[in-house]
Amino acid sequence: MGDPLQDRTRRLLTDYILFCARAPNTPEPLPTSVEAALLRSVTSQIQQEHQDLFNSFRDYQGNRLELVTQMADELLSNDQEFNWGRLVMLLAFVGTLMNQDRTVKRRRDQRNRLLLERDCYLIVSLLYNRLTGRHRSWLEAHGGWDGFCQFFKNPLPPGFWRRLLIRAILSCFFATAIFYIWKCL
Amino acid sequence: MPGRKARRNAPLNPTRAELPPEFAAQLRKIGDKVYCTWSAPDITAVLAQMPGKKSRKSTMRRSPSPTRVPADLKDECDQLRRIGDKVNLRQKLLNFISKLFNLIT
Repeated sequence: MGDPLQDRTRRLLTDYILFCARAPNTPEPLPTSVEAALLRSVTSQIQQEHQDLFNSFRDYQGNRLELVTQMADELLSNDQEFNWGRLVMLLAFVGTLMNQDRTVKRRRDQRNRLLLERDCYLIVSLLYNRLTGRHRSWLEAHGGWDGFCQFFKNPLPPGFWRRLLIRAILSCFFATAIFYIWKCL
Repeated sequence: MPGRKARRNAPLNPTRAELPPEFAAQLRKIGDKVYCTWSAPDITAVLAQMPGKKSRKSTMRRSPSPTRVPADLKDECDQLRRIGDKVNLRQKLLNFISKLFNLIT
């Protein structure tokens, strides 16, 4: 029997990358695990929130692997600074790179598809090696992919509600502070 | 060069097809590259020889931001890192609040 963390990591990355790189106008494949479904929803929310940042990388046709390696080096530099937020950001970025919504010239479609499939394999291998190698101890310390599901179990509320929530919390905080000061005087 | 001339003038052996040395070197290089790509655990070493890199000039032109330079990419990395940290903090806060609500109710 294989290592469960390695198996889940490989399955999750493969599911996510293939989901992002699917051909345009094809139905979404069903997620293969709970964490895969959650990852899809969290990354799509982040991509929508930061469209301006991600849009410049849509339909990128250069060396995707080189770009992902650079980003992974920057974002997941060491265990001290590693967190779920950064991992999700990196995966949202990778998902944008692999997304082929707007296809380029039809004549080159087949070649692009082959290059994309090769990049899918290489990027899954790269991320898998990073996560199960350099960051394995961090993942284990934070509950593995169950910890990921636990961390993102409360979905981020949409913009309006989030702003409202922050205002309510700040108001409560200030009210408590004022009440405390008034009591002390 | 006399050696090259002699090789050119040498009679062809019909039982053994001779490959030009450049062709053999090229084949060896491709073989090494394929081996590295499929077997090495860390594939960053083969990045420099990726065929995608060759087409970079042309693709950069097609890319939405043709003036993308490493410094620019560094800025984007910083931005992604900052947003990632923010997402992490926000989610922690949200989990804390929901835990608090669960305790109260």
